[in-house]
Order: sequence, then structure tokens, then C-alpha cells
Amino acid sequence: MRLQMLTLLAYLDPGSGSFILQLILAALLGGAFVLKSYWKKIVASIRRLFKRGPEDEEN
Amino acid sequence: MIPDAVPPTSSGAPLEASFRDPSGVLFKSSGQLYRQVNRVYQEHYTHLMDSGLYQELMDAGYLIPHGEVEVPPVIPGPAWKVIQPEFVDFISYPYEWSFSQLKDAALLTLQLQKRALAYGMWLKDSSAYNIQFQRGRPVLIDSLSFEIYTEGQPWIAYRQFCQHFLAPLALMARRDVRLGQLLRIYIDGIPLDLASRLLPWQTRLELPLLLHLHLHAASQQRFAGQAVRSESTINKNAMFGLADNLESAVRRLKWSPGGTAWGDYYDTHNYTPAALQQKSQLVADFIQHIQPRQVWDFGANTGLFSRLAAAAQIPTLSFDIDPSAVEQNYLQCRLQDEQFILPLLLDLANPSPGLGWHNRERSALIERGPTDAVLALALVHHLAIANNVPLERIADFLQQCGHWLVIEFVPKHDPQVQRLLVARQDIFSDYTQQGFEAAFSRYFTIHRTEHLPESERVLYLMEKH
Repeated sequence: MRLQMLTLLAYLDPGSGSFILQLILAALLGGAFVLKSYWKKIVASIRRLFKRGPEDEEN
Repeated sequence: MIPDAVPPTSSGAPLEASFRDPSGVLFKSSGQLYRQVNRVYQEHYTHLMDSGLYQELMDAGYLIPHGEVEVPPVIPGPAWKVIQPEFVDFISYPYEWSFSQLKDAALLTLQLQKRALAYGMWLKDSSAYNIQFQRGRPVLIDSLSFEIYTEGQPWIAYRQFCQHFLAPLALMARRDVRLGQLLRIYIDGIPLDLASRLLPWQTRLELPLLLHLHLHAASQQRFAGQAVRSESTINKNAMFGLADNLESAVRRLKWSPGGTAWGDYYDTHNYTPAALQQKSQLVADFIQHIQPRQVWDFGANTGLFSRLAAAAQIPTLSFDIDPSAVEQNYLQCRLQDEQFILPLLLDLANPSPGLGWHNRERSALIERGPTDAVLALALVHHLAIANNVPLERIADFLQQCGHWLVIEFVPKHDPQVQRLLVARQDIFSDYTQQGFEAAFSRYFTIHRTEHLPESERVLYLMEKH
């Protein structure tokens, strides 16, 4: 596939090297982002769990 | 603050800096600033306004508000709509910002990209010149920067972000804060190969800087001028990941002000508490008398006297030559949420010139004035003695900058002046109070002359003839 500007609005020259680097980094950065999102969710649910504990005791 | 619709007027003129983006054009008509939106951008503008993204950005204070108006477009052919953005008090440029101002502008740009992605859009440019400081906070002023997101495509503004933000911030934090001034030479941001060469070798051990600067520069060199043919694409998670990674790269870059000649100036200079108190009182009285709509404080240091004007809710530009002083000033603004003061970096001996295409894309300092009132406190000796500028030329410059002038004369036997003369010959025979008054009287009427107690310094209130 040849990547090209899909709209008339793309007035910047993105630079071939900048495009290719992003494609190379895609898997790494996408993976890291998904992991980070899951990690945040896990931390949030653990926090909720511990938060609920004392509240339940109060109730 | 959204302007009401105004009746049709005769077409104005496009702004000199507004010609690259086919989405629209900024223009002035009857003294008002407008933005023409072209048909080619219609779908994207509609998505911005209807998807909820515009409202979210308004709520967050991330984008300048605008209203749609019935004003004839400046270039009717491609035009679809005219909008009027809220007026920005003063346009400043990245080479006039301190480290943290540039960093906050970078973080805002990445926040805009992430929020836009969540609404099916992304930034089609990431120019630092699209960010301005309004009421103390960075804000995107280009309402046409958003584009409907295309799944699979790399981010078109990635290179621009690295050149405008990441490279200068890394150079400032990891090499020398003064390298931020390279932005004044390279109007589209610092070339990445140059940044890579100038950065210390150890920055290759920092993963985000290795990826986005060093490998980025190498990739640019390797694939220069080649068409991109690839079976792979970049999905939305990766796009979020890219913005996220750039954000952590920017957040990790830190610079602490200090260790310069000015950092502790207020503590060590030669005022007694009584003199400082009297000087503050006089400056406040003069400002109260002038009632300016805007103040430029030259040689503001960390903004002690700028805050006298800002306290009266007068928008005040707080200029200083020292990156540490400007940084401390900005950090204080941010901490106190001060809305009326904008610290900016400026060398008065070489103020920001007209730059870019036709020398008109970025305005010279003096073209962004004149202002109502100029403060020039404890400054004149630096210009006259450290920079050899004749007093009359200083007066000429200041009368071009503003109508009113609050200026302090620091006599030659003052320790601060003696310090400047310690290693050089005194060739300044005209540098006397009489010589000062004679030079400034050519351009100004002197309304008040006040001797500061327990000091030889004199404070003047002057008005342009």
C-alpha cells in the first residue's frame, strides 16, 4: 500500500522518515498503551476494592 | 466573550502569517479579527462542533472560543463560513517563552491530540505558534487544526511536534536552556538531525528521546525523498500510544532555574526596605494615575513591579533577558493562577525581529505595540552602559513602545553601575541625571520626578509629546 495524503487539508509535509518511524513504532507504542490502560483499570479496581472494604465496615 | 454577530462590512485583508493551510484564512476587517472557513474544511468543522469535541475543549479551556458571524469572507471563492475568535491580548512566540511555558504548550498540544482522537478527530498540525497564553494559560488559537481521523494513517504532524516542542525542550533541559533560541532561527522548529548532534550522548539511553529524536533523525536521513510503501498501518491504540509516549517524554524533561546573575536580585540589590517600599508605592501611584489598558514591563526580573499593574487587573507583559527570571516569574503565575501577567524572554539589545516569509509571518516586538504604559525600572544603566546605547536612542525606542513611561534613573556612583564599569573604561560622560533628563525631554514630557529615599536613584513619570 502506498500511504498518501487522503484529504486536501494535509498541507504539511510529514516527511517519509517520520512516517516510516511511526509505522515501526506502532506495535511497540500501541502495545504499551493497551498494557498501560489495562494496568490503570487493574489499579483502579483494586483501589475500589480497598475503598469499599472500610465503607462496608462502617455500614 | 463570544462576539455578537456584526453587520456585513467591506472585505479586509488576510493576515501575513495566514497562508499555508487551505482550510481557511485569518483576516482583519474594520479593526476586527475573523477567520474564514473554506468549503474544503466544512465536514471537519461540522464534526468538531457537533461531535461534542468543541464543547469539551471549551469546558477544559483548551481552545479559543469563537462565534459564527455574518461578515463577508476575505477570499470569497473557496469560502464557506466566517467565524470570529476571541481576541488574544498579545501574540507571543515560542522563542519568547521560558522552558515551562514551552513545556506547557507541548503538553496542551498532546492533550488536544488525545481528546480529539477520543472524538474521532486528530490534529493536522502541531505548530507551537498555534498556542498562545491567554489569561495565564496556554490555549490553542487555531480552530481549524482538527481533522477527521483516518484509521491506519500515521500522524501527519508528528515531525512538526518533535521539531517545535520535543527537540527544543530536550536541548534546553539536557544541554543548555539558551538553545531554546534556536527556534528564532528555525521557524518550523529545530531540525532533528541538528538536535540529535547537539544533545549529549547519554540522551540515547533515554528511550523516548532515543525514539523520537535520535532514531527519528536517522530515519529522516535514511528515507529522505522516498515514497512510503508499506503493508503495515498504525491503528488507533498505537496513535494514542504515540501521544502518550510523547507526553511522558515531555513530562520527564525538567529544568530548574537558578544560578544566574538575576535569580536573587531583589535580595541583594541596593535598596533599603524603605526605598523599596517607596519605589513600589510610587510605581503603583503612577499606574493608578495613568489607568493603562496594558503595560509592558521591560527588565521585569521575576515580576515584582509587573504585579503592581497586574494586581489592578491590567494585562501586563513582564519581559526579561534572563531565562531563570522568566521561568521563576511564570512558575509563580502558574502557582497563583495569575491571569493578568505574561512573563516573556526578551533581549532589549536585540528584540524579536520580523521573521518568516517576507519578514512578516512573525511580527517584531515593536510591531506588536504600541502599548499604553512602559515600565523601565533599574534598566537604563544596562542599556546605556553595558550596551553602549546613547540615552537619546533609548528614549527614542521607548517612545515607540508606549505612550506613558515610568522610568528609573540609576546614577553612575550607584554600586550597580559601578559593577558594570569595574572592568572597563568610563566613556559615558553624558550619563548624568541632567544628561538623562535632556535626552528624554526630546521625546517625553516629564510629569513627576521623585527621588527614592536612602538612595540616589530617581523615578520619573513621563508622557510622550
